Amino acid sequence: MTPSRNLELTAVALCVIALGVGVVFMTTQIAVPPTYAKVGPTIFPYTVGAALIGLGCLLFRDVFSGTWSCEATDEDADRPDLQPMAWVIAGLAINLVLISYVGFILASTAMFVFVAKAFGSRRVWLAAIVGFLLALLAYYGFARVLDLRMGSGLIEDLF
Amino acid sequence: MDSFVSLANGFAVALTPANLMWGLIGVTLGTFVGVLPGLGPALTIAMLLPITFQVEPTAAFILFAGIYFGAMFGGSTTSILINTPGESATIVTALEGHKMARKGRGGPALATAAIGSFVAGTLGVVGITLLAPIIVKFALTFSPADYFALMLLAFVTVSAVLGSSMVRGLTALALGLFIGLIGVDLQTGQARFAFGQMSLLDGVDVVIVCVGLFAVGETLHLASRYRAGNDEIIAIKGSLWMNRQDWARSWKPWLRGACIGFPIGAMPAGGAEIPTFLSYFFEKKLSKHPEEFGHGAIEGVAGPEAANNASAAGVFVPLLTLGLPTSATAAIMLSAFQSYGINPGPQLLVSQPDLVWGLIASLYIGNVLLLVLNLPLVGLWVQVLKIPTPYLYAGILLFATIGTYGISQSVFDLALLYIIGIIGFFMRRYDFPTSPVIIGMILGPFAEQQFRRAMTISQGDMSVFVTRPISATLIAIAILALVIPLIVQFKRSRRAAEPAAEGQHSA
Repeated sequence: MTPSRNLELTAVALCVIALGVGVVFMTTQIAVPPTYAKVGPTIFPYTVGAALIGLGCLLFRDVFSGTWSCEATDEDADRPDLQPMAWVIAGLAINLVLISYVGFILASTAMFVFVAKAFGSRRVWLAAIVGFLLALLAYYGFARVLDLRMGSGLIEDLF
Repeated sequence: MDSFVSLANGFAVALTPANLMWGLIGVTLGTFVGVLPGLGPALTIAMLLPITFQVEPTAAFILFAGIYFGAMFGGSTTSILINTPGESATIVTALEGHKMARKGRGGPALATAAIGSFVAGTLGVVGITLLAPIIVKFALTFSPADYFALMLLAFVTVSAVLGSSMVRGLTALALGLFIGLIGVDLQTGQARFAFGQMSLLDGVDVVIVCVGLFAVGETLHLASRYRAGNDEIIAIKGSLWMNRQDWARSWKPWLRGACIGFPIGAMPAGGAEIPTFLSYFFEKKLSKHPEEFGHGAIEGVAGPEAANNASAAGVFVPLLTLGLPTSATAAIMLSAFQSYGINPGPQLLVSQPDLVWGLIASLYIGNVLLLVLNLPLVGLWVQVLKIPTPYLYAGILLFATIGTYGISQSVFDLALLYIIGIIGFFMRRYDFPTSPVIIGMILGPFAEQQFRRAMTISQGDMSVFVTRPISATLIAIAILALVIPLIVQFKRSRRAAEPAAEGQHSA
């Protein structure tokens, strides 16, 4: 196993421990009404936090005993392909930023184009048309049937 | 034979034109998402949860059951034709089925999978009908302490026993339990882990977690493996139908597979992997043509497919009689029950007979629909695999957005969805199972409720969990399930260490 990959796994184990410590700490902030002192709302959170800390330590052991086999430790697997991932994440971010300003249909069309680009779509205009039509279809089909409130937006307000 | 009368009533409920239509929509949609690599029934049902505000429970559950079985059928089609098993339960099918497809026998492979699923589904429904009332009678004597012990056992088995690593499974479970804790504590009104966010007070919606882990996480993961290249779809050549020899070699594996799958699915452990692997192992042992295994033996498709379907039917036994979900899909169905204000448990069979028996009957009808619709239409389903990948994954994210943003119109929820998606990506990369997160998040609050109820009854005396015979037994099994693999591992590593040490001596 290469050291850099070992480092990745160590970071994961640390994250789990950190989450556990965070859970325990936040649980101490929960005020317990005295009537519930025995079996209050903090027993489960403490248990879960302690479990996370313990499991994180066990993950550490797995890192160094080399028993943790996964994609990240697989020598034959390629390194993660950062460029397509960046396109997908950019698409998600754009959707988050735009959705409350221009509405679901346009924001999601933008996301669609980015994600399509991530997976190797060459004709951006075609992806934009497909995305727009799909968003429109989803909005009227899916959202209306399920009565989801998709809110307003530039296109949504036209109808 | 009371339960068969109830089942007949169930059929009367499920066969009304409206419910039949829901069943049809369910199996069609289920097959569609099952065929698409990377999508599964848990995700689909989660996205359709808002429908519970629109239609009556029976219709919704008939739809969900159709999706459940349809997705399984679609999943085996994909694993036979392109060798990318969507879920661990179809790994075995891909093993032999894909080899058959390569030899130009894709048609019979699909046929034996479909008919085997139908046979197993039929036996599964009979099994549920016979078993459910017995378990209900037993479960009515359960105290809160017993329930808590039962849930503890389910937690251990779904996360630690199944899957590749006990530690990672339990970590995923703990993450799910943590997510389940977020929000206002129902007993005291205390906010827990809400970070002062209004949107977190109601807790995190299961749709967000499910769609985040399964849709966003999966898409990110596929993007990270983009260079790995595409899989080749194998066209179905020759006849779709099985010849006389295929039938002769298939019917016993179907029955054996069903008999292995159903009991394992019905246990409060669940999981379809173990029965499929067991069935494969048995068929290989019993086959007159063991040399064909690994090169496209039809028994290796027939048996595991039947086992898979029977265990899927079996999962409904603990869900409907104990309110205990043992798969991600069952957990989502449990939260659908919650959204109707229905408490699944032993009372369900008495208080909602139409719902329960209608659901059981629709499992069977779903299997019939799948058989008559999908086998002839398999050519059409193969077309689904030809959707260009850029549009497919962009479309999945678009629907993921609509499924979550549509519930609350909250950008916060959307951000949460994407963050959980990124966590889901890392979980895939470091091989953490995702189902325990869903099960932990949904079952966790129930477990806590039962725990606190038990403690209130016993006035804070923890010994209640070990003095009651049922709960003591269940907790003992749970502890054994955790400890035995550790002992086995320890012994194995010592045995591996000894020859190495001897080797050093002689050198």
